[in-house]
Amino acid sequence: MTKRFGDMPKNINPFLGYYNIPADDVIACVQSDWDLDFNYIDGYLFFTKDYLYMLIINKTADKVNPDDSEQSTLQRYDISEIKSSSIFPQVVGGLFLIEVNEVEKPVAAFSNSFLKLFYKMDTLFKKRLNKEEITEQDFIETDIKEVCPKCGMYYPEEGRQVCPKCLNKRSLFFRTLSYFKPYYKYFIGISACILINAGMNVGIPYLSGRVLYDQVLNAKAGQAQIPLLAGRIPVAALLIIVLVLLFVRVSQQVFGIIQGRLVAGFVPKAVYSIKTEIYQAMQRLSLNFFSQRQTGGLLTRIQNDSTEVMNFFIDGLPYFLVNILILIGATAVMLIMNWKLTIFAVAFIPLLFFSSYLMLPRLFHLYGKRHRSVRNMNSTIQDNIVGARVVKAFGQEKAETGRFSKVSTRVRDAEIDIVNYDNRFYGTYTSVETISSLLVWGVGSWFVLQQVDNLTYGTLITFVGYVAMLNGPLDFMSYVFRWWSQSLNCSQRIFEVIDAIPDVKEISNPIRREKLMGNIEMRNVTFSYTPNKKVLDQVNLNIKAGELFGIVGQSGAGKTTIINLISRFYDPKEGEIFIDGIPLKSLAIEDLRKNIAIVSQETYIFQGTIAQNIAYARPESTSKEIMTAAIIANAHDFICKMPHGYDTVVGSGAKSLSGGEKQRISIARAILVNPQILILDEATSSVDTQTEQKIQDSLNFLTVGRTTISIAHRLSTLKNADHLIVLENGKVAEEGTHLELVKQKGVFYKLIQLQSKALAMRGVGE
Amino acid sequence: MTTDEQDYQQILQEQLDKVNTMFEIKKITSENSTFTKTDGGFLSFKFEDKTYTRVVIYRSFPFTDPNRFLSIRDTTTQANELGMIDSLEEWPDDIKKMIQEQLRMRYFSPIVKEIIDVKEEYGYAYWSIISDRGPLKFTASIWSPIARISDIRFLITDIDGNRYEIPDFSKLSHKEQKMIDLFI
Repeated sequence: MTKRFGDMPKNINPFLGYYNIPADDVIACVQSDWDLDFNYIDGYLFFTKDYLYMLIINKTADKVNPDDSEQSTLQRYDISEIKSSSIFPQVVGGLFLIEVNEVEKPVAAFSNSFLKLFYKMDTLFKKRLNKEEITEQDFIETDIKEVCPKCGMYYPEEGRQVCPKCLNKRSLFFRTLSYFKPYYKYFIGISACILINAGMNVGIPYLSGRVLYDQVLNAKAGQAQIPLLAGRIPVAALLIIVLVLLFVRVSQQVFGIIQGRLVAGFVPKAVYSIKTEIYQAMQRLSLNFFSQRQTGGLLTRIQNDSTEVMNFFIDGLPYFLVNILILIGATAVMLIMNWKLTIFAVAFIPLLFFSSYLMLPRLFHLYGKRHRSVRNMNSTIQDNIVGARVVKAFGQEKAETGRFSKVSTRVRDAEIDIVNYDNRFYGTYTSVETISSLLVWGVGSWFVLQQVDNLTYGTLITFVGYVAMLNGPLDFMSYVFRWWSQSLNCSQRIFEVIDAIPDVKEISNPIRREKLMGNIEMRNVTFSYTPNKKVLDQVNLNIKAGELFGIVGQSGAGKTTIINLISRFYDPKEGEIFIDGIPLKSLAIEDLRKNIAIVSQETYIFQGTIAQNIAYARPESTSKEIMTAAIIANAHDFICKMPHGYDTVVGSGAKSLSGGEKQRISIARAILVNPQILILDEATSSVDTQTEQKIQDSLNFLTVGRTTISIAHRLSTLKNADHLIVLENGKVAEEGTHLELVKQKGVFYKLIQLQSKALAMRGVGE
Repeated sequence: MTTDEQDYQQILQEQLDKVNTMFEIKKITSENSTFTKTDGGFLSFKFEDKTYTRVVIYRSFPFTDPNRFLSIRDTTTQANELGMIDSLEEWPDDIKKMIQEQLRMRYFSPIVKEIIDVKEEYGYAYWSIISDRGPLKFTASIWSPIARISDIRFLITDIDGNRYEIPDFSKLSHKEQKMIDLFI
């Protein structure tokens, strides 16, 4: 299946042959998945120089036989008769329409999966209708869905080159492990401790069982065969055994402590580096990533997930190794002692591992579910806390409690599910252990009575000791599988952030410009946040360096989008932007951002003093500079009136500022950066008219010698603009100076009239 | 009443009228308008002495009240509202059918008949279902891909934004319910 744009899929060539259409004549082709009655089909819309075709291949046929007229249908439209084409978007997907003889006819239908491609196809087909030349260039700029090189599957998330199919859990585990690589010396130490401990563990039952019973208690004096005990009286031999046992136990503790200290010494460091990497990755990501995800979820990600991963690696992994070694060691000793009994002891273990293998995926699932519900709950809590004022103002405390109990019920249910499932898991393990040890007892006693293999009582006791020794590791296994799945779940989420590719990518060799002049040009820029709704449509702009450039228009007209594009928070879908003649995509993002300062409606005040807030983008500023900026922003006065002046701590949890105050601090921040391009996005919307006038005066002072782009609702704000554009539905409706626009008596004139009327109604004169 | 007060009342009334006309929704009935089916299968519309060669119909409450408050809009990019149909029930059958056809086109989504398998892997769930349009496979995110429309009605959205409807959750088998329960 191909989604590649413009290419003719090879499998339809035989069908083209059947209809006598030379494949080389096809200019562009796009695949569609619905017929006009919304049945799923294999459809291809393509056009040649003279005709537009819609080919539908019947999917149900067993064998491809193009000559079978049942297998395909072809519609043909003469391009010379087609007046225009359009996309008719539906809630999901859409229709491709052509106009023939004043009637609009549907030609193809498609789901959302092909929406983008069809929009592109429509653009191309329009070019053909207008007899414009279609070049290679037209195909290149389409975003083609990227394919995983291993399995050829499309990446489920665009821009994130992670193929879930080819990414396996093992590689995930080793990738997490790679964070611990620099600490390999610790690992060697830990492994040594583990080996010694496991060895001693395996030795203990042998000492306390076989040696104690058969060589000391059961043997006549002097008959012991082991070198240390040979020729000693029973009491002495007993003493030696006890001392050796004591020594083994104590040294086990000592090695255990050493191991613990080694682990604690490096794991926090490794986790620190994971956390830092997640945070760095998040800073690198584009705005889109944040607007698509709940903030609560991201918080959980950094905090809990890395801790969870740490817990597994600090506690789980070493003990996992210990237990595996004990399991192997004990089984080996048992086999040497009596292989028949061993079979009875270990017969059920493979069954156990097999059932774990079967039960694990479900467990993985349940943990995912719990994580989702916890994340949901956190988001709800966060929303509630942030919006506390609104909740109280509307008296919605009860409803909020209800909302919370809904999400917290889900967390509760998820927890119950996990515990239930876990019990089943644990139950299986315990029963297997009990059955195995009972079997050994029974069969062993029978062996002793019947003198099978000369099994002695001491050997049986020792043997039972080893069977009991299997219990610990098996218990642990039942637990560690759950732990492992949980921790990998967390690692996976962490890597999802780390691997996410920013939508806005810097080219490999960007052009560096310390200082920009501030000439901005937009050429035929089209942009949309979602594929079927164009926010900007073929916008052309030319902003000269040093100009005060105003953008007006109703909300939703695309004003802020223009700024988002100039600041390169997003890249245009079509067209190009130039700054000082350099394509924006080739310019180093760092340099661009250094030369741009934005004051927007959304003010961002972080925890810190007012002075630190103003100096956010230029921390090295002197106090004098900070104050000058505040004076220009008309903020100096209110700051000074605060008891702690510029040292007042603001931000969440500290002193809260009014909307206007926050805005003025943001303005001061931008002033301090002294950028070549200053963007004011409704910068003065939260302040009263008088204050606005004052700020405006200072801004006028500020705009000298730099490019200023100003978006304003209040048209009076833009009185001094050198050039104004009026945006309407993503298009430039009018442009010119204030005076020219008023004279045109168009949209701008209407807006002015409306506003002055509205202001007059509210008793606010302009 | 003093003249001042009278004046005040009058101004108030005038403003109220203005607001009312500004926010008035034009009511479309079978008496004041005509719908005709075009050769292309769409609807043309005649209303207030104006003819629109093609119009689109939006539901105001697509889930809770699908046959009421239908907004008739033109085909420009702004999709200006021309008026509103209060209730489809009041219309003659032939036009009702025509309008319903258009609505079906706009709100089409396959109906889930059977869920064969949902496999979760690394942040994505791979669904395999049988719909009223035959077997389908799609990929959805695991982060809340299913929206609850009512207690029993659900809507699954895949990564492309395509939607698949489960009209009645309780009619799914216990096994199927369990399979998708994790995503709700």
